[in-house]
Amino acid sequence: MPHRPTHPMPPRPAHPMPPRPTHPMPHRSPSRRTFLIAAGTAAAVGAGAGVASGFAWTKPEPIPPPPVPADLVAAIAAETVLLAAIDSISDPARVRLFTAIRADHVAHAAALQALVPAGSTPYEIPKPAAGAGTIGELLSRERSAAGQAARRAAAADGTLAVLLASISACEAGHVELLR
Amino acid sequence: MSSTVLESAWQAALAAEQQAVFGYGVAGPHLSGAADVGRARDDEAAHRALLTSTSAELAAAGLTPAAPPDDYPALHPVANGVAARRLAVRLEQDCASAWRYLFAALAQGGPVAAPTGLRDTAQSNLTASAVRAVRWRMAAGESSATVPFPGIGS
Repeated sequence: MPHRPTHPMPPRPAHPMPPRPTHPMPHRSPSRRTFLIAAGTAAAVGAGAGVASGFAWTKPEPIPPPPVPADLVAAIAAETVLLAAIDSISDPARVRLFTAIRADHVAHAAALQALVPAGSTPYEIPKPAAGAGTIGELLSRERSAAGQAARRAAAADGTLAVLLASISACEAGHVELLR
Repeated sequence: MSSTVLESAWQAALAAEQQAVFGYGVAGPHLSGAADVGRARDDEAAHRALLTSTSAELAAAGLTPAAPPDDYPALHPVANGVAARRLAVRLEQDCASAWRYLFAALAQGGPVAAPTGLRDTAQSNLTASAVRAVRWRMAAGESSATVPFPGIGS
């Protein structure tokens, strides 16, 4: 049998590694607060990744319908006022005249309402105040409406601008008729 | 709005004014009565002034005002006062349409800068022709002297 050396390996040093310091780092167990912060960070990162990849963690807010342009609502309201003014006048001798003027305003209101974008927020037209009562007052309101429509036409663009310019011209014609 | 569309619409307004000046010359001799004759003279003068100013504005913008044709066969014949009043209505409607067309071209916006005030000019001339048409319809005894949308399909 081979002779086993008595000490084939050098003896192990008594302290091959330096002794661990008693308190090299303050050793603390993860607290509840630490876990909560970590969880929150992970959730935020996860949510960001979700958005970036098109995945929504929460149900998205519905997009609100677009409001009706203010100048369009104002133009519709102006026609409503004029219709109420015509309806307030009783003059049997000039029924044909008022019928024709009224028909123009009905056509104006319909054409303006046709420009309201589909799916828009419902708009409210204020109830017209007291009617004109007299032809002189109606004439004054037609003249005012023609001027307002012209100013709105100058400020608007596209189809609404053209429509308002034409409506203004028509209402100037009403002034001529009522003089 | 392209420069081509603007120029085309502007020249169309000039052409309508040229036709109106010619047309009142055709209608005038068939009108009688101080009211009709006076109205025709006033309206012809208004269109002649617009013809002059529109030509000058086109030239100022570097454009060449198109010359009018020698004749307008579509305006003939005019047999009497009734036909003359109807012709006057037609002349004013054509002018209203032409100025509305120019207004529409300007209202589209776009890269071409239009001369300052041209849009206001188009709008006021649309209105002026619409009002003159109302007066002529009243003189002609038409059942409805207005149209709801002057310059648009009228």
